[in-house]
Amino acid sequence: MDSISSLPNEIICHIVSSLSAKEAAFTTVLSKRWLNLFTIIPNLHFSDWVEKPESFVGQLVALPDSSRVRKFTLLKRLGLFELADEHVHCCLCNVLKRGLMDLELNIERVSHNDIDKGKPFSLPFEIFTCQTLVTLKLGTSVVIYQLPENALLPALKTLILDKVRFYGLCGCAFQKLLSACPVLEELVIDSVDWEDWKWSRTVSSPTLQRLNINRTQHFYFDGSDFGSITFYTPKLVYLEYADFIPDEYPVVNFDSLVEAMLDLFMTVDHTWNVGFAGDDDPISSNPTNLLGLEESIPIFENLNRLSYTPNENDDGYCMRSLPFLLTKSPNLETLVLECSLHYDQHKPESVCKCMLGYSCLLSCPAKVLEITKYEGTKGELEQMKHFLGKFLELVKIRAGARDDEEKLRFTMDLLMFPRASVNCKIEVS
Amino acid sequence: MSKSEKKIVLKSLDNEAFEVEKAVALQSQTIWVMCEDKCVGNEIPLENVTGQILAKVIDYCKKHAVVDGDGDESSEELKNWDTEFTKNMDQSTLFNMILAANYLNIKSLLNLTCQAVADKTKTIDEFHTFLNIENNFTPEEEAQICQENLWAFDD
Repeated sequence: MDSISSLPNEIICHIVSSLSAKEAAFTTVLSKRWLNLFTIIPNLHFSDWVEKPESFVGQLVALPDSSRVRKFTLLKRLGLFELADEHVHCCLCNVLKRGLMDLELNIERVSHNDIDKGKPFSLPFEIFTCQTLVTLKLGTSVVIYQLPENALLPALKTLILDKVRFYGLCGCAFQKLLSACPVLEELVIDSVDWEDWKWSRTVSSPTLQRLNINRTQHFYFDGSDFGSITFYTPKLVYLEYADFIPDEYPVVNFDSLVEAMLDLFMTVDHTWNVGFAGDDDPISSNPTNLLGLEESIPIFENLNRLSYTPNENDDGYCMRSLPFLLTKSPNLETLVLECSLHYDQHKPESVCKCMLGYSCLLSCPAKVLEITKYEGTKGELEQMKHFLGKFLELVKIRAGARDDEEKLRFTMDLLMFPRASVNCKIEVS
Repeated sequence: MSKSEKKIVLKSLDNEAFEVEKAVALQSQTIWVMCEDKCVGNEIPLENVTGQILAKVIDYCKKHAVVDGDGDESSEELKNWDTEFTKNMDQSTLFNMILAANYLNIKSLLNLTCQAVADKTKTIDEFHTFLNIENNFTPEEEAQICQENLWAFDD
């Protein structure tokens, strides 16, 4: 007789109550007896449309200890229903003891009471010591003041912070959180606001592979205190980054970075100047501005795929940072323009000053160009002339063609231009 | 309380006798109830526990007993001791410890040993080899269960 079969059911349940949901799932294939001993709840969802929050909390608390929960989602606009912070804490502490692997928490304060409206939601300490969490997503009104001394998330691989704020009273809680995640692979910081949230200016993780940072609405940009941003991420392979370029990036470790999706806006004397670059544009007309910019952008030594994703608006946009990004990517293989080609509709043959006369293409080693928006207009063709005249082996264009006939016309138009390389293939789809 | 009343003798299944401080033995709810009921003398027979296992249980209880001048061990130290205690136990010892902790009703020891089993079983292979459970599913039934919990088995 195997020894575990001699154990009574309640002891087997006791052993199971130390397992993560995944490990508990493994035990279900061991034998028929184990299959019926306990339950695994794959996805526990709690949101505004739960009509009786108290009974939800009550049922959760009443579950036997051996019940495992794989994923818990709490999307709540506090104040709409009478669910107190204590109840949320109670739910969280309860599911964290149930082998929880995936936690999504999005709490928004909606209250007619002005005192409660801006009140932050703070997390129970148990979240920061959970042994089984693999994915943690926190959003909106969540504020992290302090981490417990023994904070450690030994299984956490993905951390998503959406408008989460940190207020470190003793040291920075954000840095502490990152260093409590020894196997972290993916970090998303959405709607970041560097000026107000100084904590976020240093991202340091020796294991991080994917990083996504998106700045909050830039139209209200106040760059008065916008000195430097640090990335110590030696294992980073993929970077998605939309931001203003600060004065400097003093410490940057992008040694492993091969793919980046960048949308970097330039500022003139710390103010955001949207729209086309004109003759009187302070950046274009003042070479010292450009010099500073070139220095502040870090070198992407091993980057081989760069996606450029400028934020378009009604006034159009400039590709101001593109020439600099190209010069800073000495081993680039593929350049993807996630935008339509940039030109002035009134002067389709001219080249905007932002591209510095396409001179950056001369030294750019990329052999593949992808363009995701293409209408085949005269202005676009004029710009394409410059690209085809420079470097490429393959041009892939995702065109808004109505039919095959139009697609063929786009291709023929492009093939009419002299190409620097006769072998350069053009694919229109 | 006289000196003899502070001591108690525990007798194992294979007739091995252990003399221990009462405070050490009373961590077992089962022994505590026996003493309260005065249904036993100074010698308590434990018919479900072998001497080899009982010796280990007593080791644990001695470490965790709050005896005069001996209860000032830091919780950190105690935790490390617990980890070392179960670290090198083989499967059969660990299961017998669980049974003993359950029979003697020592909650903290039951928690510790159950946790130790959970810690030693992290992959399907470990479950099969360490727990050594006879699989009574047909291959079709097993495939069906895997399919239902695909998220756990997909990597």
